[in-house]
Amino acid sequence: MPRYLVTFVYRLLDFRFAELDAILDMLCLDPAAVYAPSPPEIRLNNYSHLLVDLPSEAVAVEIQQRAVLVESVLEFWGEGRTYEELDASLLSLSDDFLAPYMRPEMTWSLMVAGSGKTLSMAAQDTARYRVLASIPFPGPIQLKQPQETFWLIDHVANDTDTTPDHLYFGRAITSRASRGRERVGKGDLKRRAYLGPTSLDNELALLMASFAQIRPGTMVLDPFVGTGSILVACTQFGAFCVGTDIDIRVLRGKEEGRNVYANFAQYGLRYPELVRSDNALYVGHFRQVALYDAIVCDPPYGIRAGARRSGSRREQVRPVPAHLRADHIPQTRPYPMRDVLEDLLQVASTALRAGGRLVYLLPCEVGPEAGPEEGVVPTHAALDLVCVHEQKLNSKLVRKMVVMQKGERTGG
Amino acid sequence: MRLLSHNVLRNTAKGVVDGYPLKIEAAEIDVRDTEPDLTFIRHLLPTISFSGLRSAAEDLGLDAAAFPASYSTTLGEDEAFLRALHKALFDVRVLEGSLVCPESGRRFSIRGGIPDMMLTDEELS
Repeated sequence: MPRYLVTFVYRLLDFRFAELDAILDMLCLDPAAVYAPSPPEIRLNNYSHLLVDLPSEAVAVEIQQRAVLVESVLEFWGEGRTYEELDASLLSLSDDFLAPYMRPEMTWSLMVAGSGKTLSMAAQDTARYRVLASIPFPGPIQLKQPQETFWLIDHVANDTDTTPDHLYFGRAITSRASRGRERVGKGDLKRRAYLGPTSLDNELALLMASFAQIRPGTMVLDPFVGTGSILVACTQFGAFCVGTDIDIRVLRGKEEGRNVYANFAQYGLRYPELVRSDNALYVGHFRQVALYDAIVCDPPYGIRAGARRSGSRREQVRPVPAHLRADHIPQTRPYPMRDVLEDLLQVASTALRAGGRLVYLLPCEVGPEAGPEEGVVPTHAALDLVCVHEQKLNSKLVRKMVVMQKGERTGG
Repeated sequence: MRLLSHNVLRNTAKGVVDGYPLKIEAAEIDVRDTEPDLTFIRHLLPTISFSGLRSAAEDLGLDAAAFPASYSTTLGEDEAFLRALHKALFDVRVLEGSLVCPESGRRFSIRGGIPDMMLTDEELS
């Protein structure tokens, strides 16, 4: 299998290997075979580079186009702890392998990047000529849109005891292929048509779509859709989305051009289905059928926005007179976090297809003040826990991303 | 509201047994042709309620006879049927109107394409 070098962005460190795992699983690849060329401690030390074996360049392109936390994927050519080792590694490349790049008409450029350090222009040039002595590309250098772009990465490890400094050389796969990472800036909330106080950060929404393994033809439900951030991310990956919310004001929005649909129109995305309904009464609003491949949501827990469910706070309920029914807005009452989660897992157990994924966020307090129940990830007999990853928000709060999968044999 | 949503929505207020399929009273409809993804439609096929689909097609003046009364495994091979199903489920959107419970007559409004399925306190069983 051809070897590739995956480079990660330095963000959300706890999520980056996990995102790659989810994408490999979606592509039906065995992670053990893919990760074979990299020592296991690379994951533990949050190394920003990872050597992988992939069945084809098409898979490498797919990973680069898909993963939010991957900077790029390079076709791996050589490596070494020193330039002498790198030279030896590059000189061992076969003539057959190099032949396509030794055509005099091929335009190319060679980028030098420091990882964990900054390289001066002079240092970059020294490194560049050093490598070109081993691989003298004959074609013309072209900085704008060359046919091939090569990278030399000079990496300084955080922990030099276990993972020493390293040099890598590789070829950018299809230099014009889009990168999943670019979606993060393009969908920035600052430019979103319609926002609410708790609209979910676009990077995290895209990451959730990766964990939920969204691809063309996936049916997705967000039962706490709000302004639709998560579904915007899922629709970009080709999903058909359904969003429900108890708050009709959020769903309807402010005016034409400032509502949930506007967020989809903005990026030319297919409109989702929106329904005002109560997650606590899901089986009351919807036929019980395993319709969804994924349920992806950021439930309201009361930390940023209080959760509501149907029902009055009064002991005695007064009926609504028939003549006022048309515009009557039914009462809602607070919805405790434990109930929110219990209902969410119950909905997932009935509405997900076998093998479908539930991905949700769970904020928890940490430290001595946190109660014994705090941060406990709830379980459900029909759902298997795939992984839980944490993002530290501040000294007292972490946000967990929980990924569960409906068991293959639990029917539905 | 597309007919895909209609196909799963129901009313379970107190005293209602099935509350399905809801009758559609459409005041404003938007029809936009989109390219069908036949793999996706085949994937959805086993989850579709054909009684719900036919009822919705009748309510909207579509050709209900194009759809069989029930699911059978051979439907996935009939490309003309899959295209008709895609059109019904995804290309038609009811923007304004009501959904009416076949048993109780309870009306749920559809405004701006969004059905409001919330029940009042005394309707909750």
